Amino acid sequence: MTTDANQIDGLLPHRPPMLLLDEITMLQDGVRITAQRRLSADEPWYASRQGAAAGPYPPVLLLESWCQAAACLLATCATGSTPAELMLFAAASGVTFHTPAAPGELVEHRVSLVRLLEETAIVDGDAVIGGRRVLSVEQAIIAIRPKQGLVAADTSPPGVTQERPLAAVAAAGTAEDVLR
Amino acid sequence: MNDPAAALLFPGQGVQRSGMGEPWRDSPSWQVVGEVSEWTGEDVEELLLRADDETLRRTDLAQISVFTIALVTLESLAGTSLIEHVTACAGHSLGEYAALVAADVLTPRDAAILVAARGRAMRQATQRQAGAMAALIGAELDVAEALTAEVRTSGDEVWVANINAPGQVVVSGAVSGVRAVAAMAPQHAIKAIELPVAGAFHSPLMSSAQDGLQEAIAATTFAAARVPVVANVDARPHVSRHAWPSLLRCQLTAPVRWDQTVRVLCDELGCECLVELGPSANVLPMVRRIAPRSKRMAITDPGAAERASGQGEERPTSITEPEIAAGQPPRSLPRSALRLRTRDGDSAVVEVDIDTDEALFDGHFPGLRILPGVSLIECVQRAAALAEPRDLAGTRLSVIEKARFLSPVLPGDRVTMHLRWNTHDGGWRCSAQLATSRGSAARVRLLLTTAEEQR
Repeated sequence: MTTDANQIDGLLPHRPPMLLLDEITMLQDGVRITAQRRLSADEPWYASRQGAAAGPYPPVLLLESWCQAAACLLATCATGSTPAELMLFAAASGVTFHTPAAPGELVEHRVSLVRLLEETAIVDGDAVIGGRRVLSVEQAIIAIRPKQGLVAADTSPPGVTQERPLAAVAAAGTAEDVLR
Repeated sequence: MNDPAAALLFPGQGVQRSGMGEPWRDSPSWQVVGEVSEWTGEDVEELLLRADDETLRRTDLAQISVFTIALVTLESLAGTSLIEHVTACAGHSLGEYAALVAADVLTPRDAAILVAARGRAMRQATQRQAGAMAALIGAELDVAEALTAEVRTSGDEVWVANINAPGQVVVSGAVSGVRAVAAMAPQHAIKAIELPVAGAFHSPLMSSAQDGLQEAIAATTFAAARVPVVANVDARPHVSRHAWPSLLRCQLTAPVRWDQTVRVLCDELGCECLVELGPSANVLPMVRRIAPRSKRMAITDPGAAERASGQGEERPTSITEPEIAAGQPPRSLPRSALRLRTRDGDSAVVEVDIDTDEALFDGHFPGLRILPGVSLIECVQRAAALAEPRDLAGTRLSVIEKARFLSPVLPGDRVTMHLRWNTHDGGWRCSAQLATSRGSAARVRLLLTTAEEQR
């Protein structure tokens, strides 16, 4: 199946310039997803460089793009997020940037769902550019959190929120075990 | 206002990089670049904006480029309170010429002509006889002296060339001599790093360059110094105009006594604040090792110059990350500059104010602006490069071993990062705890590898 950007708009709350996904090329509901992104030097990260060579694509944004593919996969699950919820990148381990990616290149993200807990999902996968592996993710944890709670946390006085993990992994227990 | 006595420091060759003029090209002091081009016959604007790293490796071009950036920076500070509080100057090797301009010993024009002549003479000397230099990390002076002496007794040529800081000595000599010292280094728990220079600077192999420089020196008028300049050759403060012709000549073949120079600035001349003028903080990491309690500041761009001269909102008490420049990789937070608050051995505190105008907030998310967690990872990598520029500035993010995001970071937040780093498997491992005024925001552990290890 192929989903175009309009449909991705419906799955993700992200908007340009932080909507970093163009197309879903394969989706097996609740199991795995393949999605594409054409990296571009027109993105704002390149704006202040005054004609210098474009330079490598910021690796952390490549990871963000991959996480958005993961969020699309979760959004299609039965327990996926509602408009009142946000999916947030809560934790990761073993994320390797193999070779730098450059603007103009077409990245293919491949994400598998490892485990779906109540408000937390564990995913893994990789990203390739023309068969060359640029990113691999041993484990990423995506938290599904109510928007309301986030705003409340933002306005509480210092010390009140303390170390409450976004992913609520401490409560989930199993996720904590996987994270070590 | 009770401002501390300040010393101006100028870096030498080796600090140059492609596009290093970018931060200055729109500032009024950029006009100095045209003047230096006129005085020296080199297209310095081309060198500072467009020349590639390979071109800038050429001795004479590297030197005129680095010198010109120092002049531009100095010009931007003319008449400011910072300059009024300067009580001494010093420069590392080539940087000594900019220090002499800052102290009014040389006019900018005379200094530029001398630097051009020196660069040409040194380049010719390297063409006559190839040479090499290597930094010995972990070496104290007595060990470096012993190693070079041992190699010299076996008939090879190598000498101590820079005494930079505790545990950092540079040797210089014939290629074979430097390699021989480098080969012995690991037995003494010393890491030898070959420096990308064409010749055996600050060694007797440079004696043929002295004649070329001597001619230019003879045609130059030296004036008495406005403030003392501490010389590389003898690490003594000089105010008399008579000392400099011979000091500059000797400097070509004599070791740079930088460690002692900084001690004289701090202990003897009472300088409490050491301010580096150059494209990046280059000599300040050495200063930190020599005088850990000193106040240090780098002026790398017009913004830093403005803040330092009191025109900005506050006087800096920390090292600020250079503005984004052509040579640096693009990043998700181009507007938010990092500041090094404190640094102690292999740990540091770095902070960043998340700029509310960062482009990414437009889409993350409409109606609910939250900093993407991945941008905090980028901040940690940048913080490491700022805290330890010598080892970590050229590295790339290779692995996120672990990252946990604990609470949202919002536009306008000040994020404080506590960093710790150590060598790991040919690269560096960097751990960081991040917090906002509301408490912990993230914990991150990264592996950073040097560019050569990229595949």
